[in-house]
Amino acid sequence: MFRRKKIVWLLLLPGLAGLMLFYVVPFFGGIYFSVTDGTYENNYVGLQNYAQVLGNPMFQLGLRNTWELSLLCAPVIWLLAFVLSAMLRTLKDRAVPFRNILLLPYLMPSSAMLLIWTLMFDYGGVVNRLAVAMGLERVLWLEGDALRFPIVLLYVWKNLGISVVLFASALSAVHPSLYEYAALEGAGWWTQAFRITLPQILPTAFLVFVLAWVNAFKIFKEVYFIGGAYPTQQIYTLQHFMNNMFARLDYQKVTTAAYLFAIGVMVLFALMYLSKAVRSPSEA
Amino acid sequence: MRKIMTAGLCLVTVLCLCAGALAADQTLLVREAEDDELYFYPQQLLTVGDTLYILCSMEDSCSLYRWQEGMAEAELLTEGLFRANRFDTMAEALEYVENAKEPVPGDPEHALGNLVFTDGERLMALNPLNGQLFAFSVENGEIVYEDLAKAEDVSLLRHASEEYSYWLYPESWAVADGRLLLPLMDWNDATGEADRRMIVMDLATGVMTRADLPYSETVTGCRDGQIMLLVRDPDNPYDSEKGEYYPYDLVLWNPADNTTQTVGQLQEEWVNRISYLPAEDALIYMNDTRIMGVTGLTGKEQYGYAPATYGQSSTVVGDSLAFISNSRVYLRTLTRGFDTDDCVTVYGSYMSDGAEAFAEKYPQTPVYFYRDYYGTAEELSQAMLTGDDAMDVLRMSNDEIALSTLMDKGYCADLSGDAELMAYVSSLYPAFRDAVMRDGKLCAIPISAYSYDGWFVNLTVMEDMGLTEEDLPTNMVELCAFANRWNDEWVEEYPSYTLVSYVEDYKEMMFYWMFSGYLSYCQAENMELRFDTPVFRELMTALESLDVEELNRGANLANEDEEGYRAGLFMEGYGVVGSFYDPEKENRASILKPITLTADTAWHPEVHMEVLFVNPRSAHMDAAVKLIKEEIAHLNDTYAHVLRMDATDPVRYDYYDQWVQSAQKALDDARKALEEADEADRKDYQLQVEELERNLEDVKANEYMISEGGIRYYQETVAPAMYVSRPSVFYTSEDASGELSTLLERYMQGQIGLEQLIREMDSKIMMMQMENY
Repeated sequence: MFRRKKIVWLLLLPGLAGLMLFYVVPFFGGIYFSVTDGTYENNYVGLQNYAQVLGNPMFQLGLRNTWELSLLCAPVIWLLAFVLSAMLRTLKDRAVPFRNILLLPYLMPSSAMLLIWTLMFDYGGVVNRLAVAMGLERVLWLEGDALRFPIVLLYVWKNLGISVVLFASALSAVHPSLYEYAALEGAGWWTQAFRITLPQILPTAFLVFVLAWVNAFKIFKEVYFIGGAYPTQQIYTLQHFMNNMFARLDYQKVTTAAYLFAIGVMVLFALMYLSKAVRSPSEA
Repeated sequence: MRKIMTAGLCLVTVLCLCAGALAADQTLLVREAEDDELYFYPQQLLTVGDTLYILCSMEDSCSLYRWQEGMAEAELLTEGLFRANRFDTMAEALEYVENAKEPVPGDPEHALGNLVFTDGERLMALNPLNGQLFAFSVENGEIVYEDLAKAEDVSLLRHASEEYSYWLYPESWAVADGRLLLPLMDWNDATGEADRRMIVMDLATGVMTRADLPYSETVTGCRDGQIMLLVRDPDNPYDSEKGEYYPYDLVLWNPADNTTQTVGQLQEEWVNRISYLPAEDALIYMNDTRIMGVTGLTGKEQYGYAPATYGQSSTVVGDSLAFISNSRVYLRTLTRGFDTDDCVTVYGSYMSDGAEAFAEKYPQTPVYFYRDYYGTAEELSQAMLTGDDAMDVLRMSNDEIALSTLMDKGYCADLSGDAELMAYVSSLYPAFRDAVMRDGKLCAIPISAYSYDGWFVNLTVMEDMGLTEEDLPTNMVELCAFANRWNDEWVEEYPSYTLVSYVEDYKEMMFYWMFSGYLSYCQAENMELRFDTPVFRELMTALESLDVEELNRGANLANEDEEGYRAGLFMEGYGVVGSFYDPEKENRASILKPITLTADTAWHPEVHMEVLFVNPRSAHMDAAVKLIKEEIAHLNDTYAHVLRMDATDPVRYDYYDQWVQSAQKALDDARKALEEADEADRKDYQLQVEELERNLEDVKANEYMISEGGIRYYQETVAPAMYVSRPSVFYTSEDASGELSTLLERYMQGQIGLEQLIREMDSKIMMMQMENY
């Protein structure tokens, strides 16, 4: 038994070494930056950097915007993916091409997507032409408050496919007899979806929500491509703050902001995980 | 008693050895070109046995010095050697000798040209004018020539084309086995490509041939009667993939059987001169101030330290290296594996007057120069902390890198404890003093400053146009209106003139001047940078009213029948700090015109400053501070007056008296010629005299490089207005500057309006500033 264990550890060693070297060590090593002042003496300053970053108006703005965008995007993705996958389930084998089509935006390079998006939402773009044709005013979609709409739409368009695939695989595990019995009892599509499907796939639904949320936190790339390092204040995210601090080589603020963000995310997911509702039946 | 005697003897022996070692580190010849002899410089070093000969070039002739061990300095042997370099043919040389008012020293038949060399036993030369190869020596003060052979054809030593010809100067020379090897570089007039030649001359017959050898800029006699060549593709020395220079191949050429053998490689960016040290079988060369050697032709190591960075000529004498640098001849003992902890390493600088003075004052403390370059404050600070041979003193400009960031983060050692440095900084103008002080700490020492923010008015253009100073604009807003007026009224009337020299797109340039001026104005006035201000709006309104199509069309295009730019009424971008403009000086061609942004804003020329500071991690703090003090003590006159409030003495031009004498002599000669001239020629001579009288007046008017009036104007007008530039929020990062520049471009191209520009600029800048909160 002991020998077998040793072999297991030996087999795990390369992976663990990589994990330690590239994730665990830098993660804890970064703490050093966050508690020093970055001067020549590199003095220990305790939590001073944390207090400074928490009090920084741009960090607060970035955090608020990131929070708002993720709160907006994650539920939308989750709901749309669930509804679409439930609908696709009814198509059985004919659903495969649709699933693949939905996955295509996920595979597209961001720069290409952004090009399409800027062409669509430009002041003279397709969206505004349609609006004019319908007798509406043109909107500066790529500036100010309005920029949030194309950003959210882009995010949903890009990430919907992968969520649908995850939901679909979970749905395939739900026994068809449950739906037959429900149909005999007179349950409609919505009732089946929310009374049978959702409770059966709750752990996957949680996973999809978590992924959607995490991806929403990473919405920076798209915003950066459209609005640059200093976009309008409405879409300045936490990643903008970290990216700009990195560009200025202010490692103290970068690491401090990253740890604050990591702590927040960990607390959030810990709370979710502790909730009985999202645990698998065996854990509950 | 025996022990005491033994100890005493040991002590005496050690002292003698030390004295011997110290005696070998000498400066053998010091003749600065600025001394009374205007044309004098050591040209070549030659070792004959244990004697070092120094050949120096003078106006008409060459002089020869000699040094042997035990002599404090080189002694003059003779000055009577004929110098051939200035003549093209023997006939020219003889004609010059014949017509010279005073006797020309030396013998033109045995003129010394570019080819003076030695086989280690006697001095030899080739007269390029007649091909005579000869040996020469000095006996009882007399020069003795001994003809050896005559080269029938010296054409390989010349560049010759239909238009012009000249003697080629060999990069170096080496003699072995009765043959002289000369690397020569010429240019092919037809192709424009380099024509590199390795020339071999048989010293017995004088026959000269082009050898089939790889080109080596520097050669030297080496082991076993062979010659060492340093070979690398001269057209492609840099390996762009590796980001470093290719190594040199060490190639030995054996003249006896004309074979070559590659014995090793040498990794160096550039080697100027090589010499051979037989005792260590080592190739000796200089790398900045390090004297390096390739021991056994394989292992590179340091052999010594040179108080100069560039040896124009070098040779090994005994166990020492003699080399020429800056009109001086130095001698340094060669010690294999030379190393010392007592040194000072300088970043961002070359051998300066201060460093030379330091080297002379503290000969045991080598000054090394750090050659890597770092483009950002972060890279530099990392190198300051982690470099193996970390820099002690750093020299940089405040706009080269975020110097203020280094100061704020403690990367500049506090020098406020040194009374001498504090006294120096206290003597500086407040703008410089304030820029280097942080919370009472002295972080850096300003050593130079300059500004090219000056607008000058061309008085000839102004007077030709019938304008007076009062008619000219004094600020950017007025300049726009003036440009419009020029566009409407003067483009056709004055086709030879334009508003500002070298400007082709007035709108673009005006925007640039306004924008950069506005950034400077905000910094100088310590205002938070915002664009939604009355000043910026006034500027932009003026800019939008600019209508200069005609002015642009004829701005600086060449006149129809002549090349060149049109003369501008204004000349922009000229020196305002460091030029010591003197408004009281008469007969000026141009006047300084401070141009403000608007009628209500003050003038603030932006000053760039260069400083020295010390790495807090330096292990040689004492030497670093001493070096800085030497730099301060050897500030040139201009920078001393720019920086120091107590520098109030006017500075005359070094050659003023000579200029006046020369101009006076020319005038006297012309007057004499006028008196003796025939009636028919008198008119021409009279005109010449009048011209020379004006010239003399002009020369006399330019007595001072820095005049009293210039100092007064600088102190009263320029110094109180100037400010030392700091990194703007614009240059916080590439992202930041890129985005703001894009916005400006969009505005200039008419994609966005003024309101949107102001709104977005302010929004972005506010975000940048708040990130720093």
